[in-house]
Amino acid sequence: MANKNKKNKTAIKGSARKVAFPTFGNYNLPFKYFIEQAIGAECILPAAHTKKTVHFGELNSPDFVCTPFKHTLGSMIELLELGADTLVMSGGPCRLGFYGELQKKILEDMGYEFTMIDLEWYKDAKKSEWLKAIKSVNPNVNVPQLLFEVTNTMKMIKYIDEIEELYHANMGFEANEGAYDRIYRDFLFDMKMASSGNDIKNAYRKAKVAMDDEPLNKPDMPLRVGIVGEYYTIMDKFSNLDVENKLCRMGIETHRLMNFSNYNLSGIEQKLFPAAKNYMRFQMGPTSASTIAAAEKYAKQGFDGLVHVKCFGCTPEVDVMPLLQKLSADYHIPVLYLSYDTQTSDTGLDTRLEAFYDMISLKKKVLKN
Amino acid sequence: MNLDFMKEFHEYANVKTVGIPRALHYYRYGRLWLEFFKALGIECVVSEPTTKEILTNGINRSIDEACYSLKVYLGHVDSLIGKCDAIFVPRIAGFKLREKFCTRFESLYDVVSTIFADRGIKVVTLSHDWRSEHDIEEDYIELGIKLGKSKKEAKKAYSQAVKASQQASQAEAKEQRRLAVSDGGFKLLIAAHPYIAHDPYIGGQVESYLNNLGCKVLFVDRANTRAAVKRSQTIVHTLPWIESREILGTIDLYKNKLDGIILMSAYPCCPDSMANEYILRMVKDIPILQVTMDVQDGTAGLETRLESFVDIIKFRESGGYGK
Repeated sequence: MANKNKKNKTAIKGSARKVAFPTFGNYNLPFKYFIEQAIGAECILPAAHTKKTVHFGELNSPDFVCTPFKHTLGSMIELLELGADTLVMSGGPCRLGFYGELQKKILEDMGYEFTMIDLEWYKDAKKSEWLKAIKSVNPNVNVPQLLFEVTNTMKMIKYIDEIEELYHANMGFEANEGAYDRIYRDFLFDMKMASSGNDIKNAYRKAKVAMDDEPLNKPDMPLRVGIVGEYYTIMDKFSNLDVENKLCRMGIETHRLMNFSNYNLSGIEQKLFPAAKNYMRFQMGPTSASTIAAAEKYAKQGFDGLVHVKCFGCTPEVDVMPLLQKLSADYHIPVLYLSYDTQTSDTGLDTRLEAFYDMISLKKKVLKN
Repeated sequence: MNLDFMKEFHEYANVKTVGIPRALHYYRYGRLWLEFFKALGIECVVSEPTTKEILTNGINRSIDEACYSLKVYLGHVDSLIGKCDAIFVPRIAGFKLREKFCTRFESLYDVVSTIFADRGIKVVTLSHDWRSEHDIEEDYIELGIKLGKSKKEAKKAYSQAVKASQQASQAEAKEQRRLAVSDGGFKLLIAAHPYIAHDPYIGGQVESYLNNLGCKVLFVDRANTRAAVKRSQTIVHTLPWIESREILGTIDLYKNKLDGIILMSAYPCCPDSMANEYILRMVKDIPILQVTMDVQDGTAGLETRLESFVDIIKFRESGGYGK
């Protein structure tokens, strides 16, 4: 009997389930790593967003829901077309908490057959329920390995965020044009191919060394812009029309506190709430304290400007805007408010960014002399 | 001796009159607040029902993208300035993980006090959300103490207020029950948040127009809301908002009695943007009219839609077109 069990275990290495999750910036790679290495299921990586993705999402979404809903729904439709049979959707403290349930309903009404693992559902569930969900994907999951790979996944997320931070701080000042882009692309490719903790570490080291070695033409006091705002749009390059790279290419150093490792792994929302006390008395929403505290930190450090990124109708971030206006007046720091919906043309954004750049560089010159 | 902590303790001690904006949570807890402040011996000034002027002032004060309801609220706050010592802006954000209000209620205090900072207003508040481990009663008592009353007085005032407001809402609920089981006339449910359904400028026009058409209008907050929330838990697990749960549950409780549902929301309402879509996909056998209200002056479009909706139901109930 024991023998038979053992045989079974070796016979089924992974599961036949094809697991997928809607696209979320660079974090697709660690999520894929987690599903493949920790759970041992096949993962379908969401393809790069296209106009079509947004169109699918938009077509099947309610009218004035926030934009990430449309992006993730479009992505889900594409993944189901690619053959995914299990979708994983995250939960969250705002409207995000209801995404999974409604998207499941919409996709079912469209005629797709699949299993949805809505992480919101497990928010107040016991640990055994979590294990049950994982076992529904792969019945032969190896729990110690799962826990070990969780730490590797978290490491990967942290490395990605660290390299990205470095990239955005220096990319605008590279001496050899395109060098940073190349290193960054290689790094992401290595992360995509990684299958062990060592692979992750080596890829990170390689990219870090290469970035440190790259010569820079950085002035003593470069223009610095802090990017604050809403969780999904700020991190998903397609949703925000790559506003961060656009700013970097103009020769600006950009900083962003809001990323997966800071928000989800370190819990800055709770930690930074005391730092935001000058502007808010109570907690105002899922990302409000992070936005205000980060904005105030940048303002105190003498940044040249702030960019507030959010999707259309994001209630918590709309409520933060009056506070940001006050902060802007208190510290004399210009703020550019960007609100994204499902538009895919970036001409309007370019114009606004150029005007913003002209203004902050002029301000800097005047202040210098 | 440092007595600064005492100041904090009786933070609002010199407040003699409190202004209450007639918007948002007023339509849910207004009676309770009025009774509570009355029992504490504090005078209440409630802002006038929404008018065009109030709305315009609110729009001028708010962020463009904010929802209609917040714009109305800011207008009411604006109209109260100068008429009272302090304005009561509570932060009642929810009770349980899946019984919350929209995040706007969570941020209401800070938004109002930041937006009106230049007008030098004083804001009286109480804070309760789903992270709080105690009952909301303790927050009311704390408010009473901050207003310079003793704990005993505050406790008594709260229990009196709860009793009085419950009596009043029970009378309303009884009236609605009578209406729901009565014969004749079309029974339409206005499925909306109380601050949309009962605001005379937003939902009031819908109610009066439906009454003119000879319909019997039912409301979500006059139904058995506790039972409705319970019912909704059997339908959907992760819906985070209590008011959306009440709407969904009430529709399910009333489904055999209703001739139609008016699903009304304000643009761009955060919970309704998703919950209403869910309701539309779940409720198949009752005619639903989805109405989205925004800052618009004319009511002709709305009237046409309501009239044709009632006409369609009439046709349907008489056995189809041509009869």
